[in-house]
Amino acid sequence: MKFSVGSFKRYWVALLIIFLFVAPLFVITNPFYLHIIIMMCINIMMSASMWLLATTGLISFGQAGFMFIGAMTSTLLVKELGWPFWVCIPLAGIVPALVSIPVGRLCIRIKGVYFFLVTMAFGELVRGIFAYFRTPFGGWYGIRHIPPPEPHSLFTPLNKVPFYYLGMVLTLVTCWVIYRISRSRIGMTLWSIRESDMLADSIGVNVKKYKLQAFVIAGFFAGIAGTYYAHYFCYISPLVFTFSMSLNTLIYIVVGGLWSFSGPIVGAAVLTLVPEFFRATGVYQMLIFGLILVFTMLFIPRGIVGLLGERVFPLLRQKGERTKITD
Amino acid sequence: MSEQLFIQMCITGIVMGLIYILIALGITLIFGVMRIVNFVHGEMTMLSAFSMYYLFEVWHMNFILALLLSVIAISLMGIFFQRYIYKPLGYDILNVMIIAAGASIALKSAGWIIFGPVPRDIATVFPGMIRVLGTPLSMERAAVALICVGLTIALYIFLLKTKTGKSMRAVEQDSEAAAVLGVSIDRVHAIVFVIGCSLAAVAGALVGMLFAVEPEMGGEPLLKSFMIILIGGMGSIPGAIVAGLLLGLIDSFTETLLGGEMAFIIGFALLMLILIIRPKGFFGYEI
Repeated sequence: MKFSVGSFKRYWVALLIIFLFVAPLFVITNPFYLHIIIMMCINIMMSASMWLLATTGLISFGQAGFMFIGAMTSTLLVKELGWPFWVCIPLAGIVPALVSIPVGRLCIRIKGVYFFLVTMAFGELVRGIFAYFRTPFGGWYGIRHIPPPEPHSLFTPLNKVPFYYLGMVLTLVTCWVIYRISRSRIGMTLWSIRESDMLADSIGVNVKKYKLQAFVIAGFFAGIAGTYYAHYFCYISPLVFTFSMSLNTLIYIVVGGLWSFSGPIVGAAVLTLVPEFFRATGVYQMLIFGLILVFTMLFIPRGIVGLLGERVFPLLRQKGERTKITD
Repeated sequence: MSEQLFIQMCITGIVMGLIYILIALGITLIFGVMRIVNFVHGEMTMLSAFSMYYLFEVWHMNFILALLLSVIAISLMGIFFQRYIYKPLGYDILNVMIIAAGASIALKSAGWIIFGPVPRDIATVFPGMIRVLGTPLSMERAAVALICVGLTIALYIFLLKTKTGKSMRAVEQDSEAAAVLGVSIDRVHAIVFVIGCSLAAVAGALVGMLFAVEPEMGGEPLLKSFMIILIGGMGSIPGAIVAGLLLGLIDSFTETLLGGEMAFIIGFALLMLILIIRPKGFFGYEI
């Protein structure tokens, strides 16, 4: 768990960010490519936030539920009450975070496979409740015609450039916050819990408190990703935020590699490209993703970043055994 | 609520519960002996139902022969998963669960691509009606219930009386000690997978007979059997039987009285509640 970020790496990251900010002006002008990058932003936000939780050894399958709560919060506030979008963005993070405190408190006590099942049940429960109440939540049909962010003259459905910049800023903020957390004392504690929570407990780490913090942070950023999704696609429904969406997020992390922060980002970016360029949507996308997950776990257990680190860049080599999500 | 409706709901619940028990027994057996969760079980029931549909309904094969062929095919699939997918991961429970979730979603999408979304029907093999407590019950459901009860009893006797069953229980209690005493662990693992997947295959054929055959049909029985296992405890067969009947009844009552959407919510709420109140079930092991 050594993050060997030298000045070399930092330089490239800065260059990449500058390139991405200037790109829509010169290089990436095709709306299709902009759409792909916007999808990437959503997926990176999801997988980065889930990665923080996964560093403690907890695999949550309820992230789509928190995403749905965030999307629903801002949709209802903007559409029904006419609140400005910019006020709703933080609220769309805060509401899922508030929901995640009691849910997390109950779920954190449960370990391993049972945590996986309880979070899956939570995600489906959120879907079921939103689908049951037709009046505010739209039932199974969902909510259409969600207004785009203000100013409306800039954020039109055909002009993807402002959405691109919005997504880029949100993603960078998400990644920066999560990176700082993972490098801070809290992040180190989370890794120590992953290694052995009993050992961490024995040296005085409040395991439940730290796990709950990671759970709440993951819920917060999932909510932010959800609101961005809602206002970009102008449509949300229980058929969008399904179990497959949470599973996809896990696949991004596993394929990218769990061992470093670049893993979820690389995994989400690469796997967003796969369905878009092969024109594989719906069931074909799920087929490809399922097979990719199986083959990655069998043959590249440390993910793309781990593989690059071992084989391609000996510079970035890190110590570690096979990827074990937890033990 | 009339008396007739009450009896009807009880019978529907018990029949559903018996089918769920059959699926849950496979999962719980595999968990008990190998300490892994076979998440692909639902897709195995789906594939078995489709193979029954093609062999029996489309190609007009003999019913018993078709069932036998589906069971063999699904067992081979189970052995493949055990040997080439779960074993390389060292039977680590969480990694196995994740890889199986990936395999399950791949199989389900393959089902969508190959078979399409149109629900199919398998014609009944047991025509006719009988009356139970004055309520009409189709022969088909009665036969399904009898098959489930028969298989459950057979499994129980197999585990208690035969040598293979005893070696399986030995591995369940302590696999290292069993290996020292000359039980071939690999062989026991393969047999467990064959039995578990055969149960899933039979359950798939029965579900296909009672309801529509479609690619999504594996999801709900899988979820229900997880709930059964969580109530009854992982690895506990009597627990699974009690919990299965209970869940079938709850299911039937909520669905009839409150509607499908509310039953969906109640099902998941119940699952969360069970996990939160008692994470290791009421008779099960700690993981």
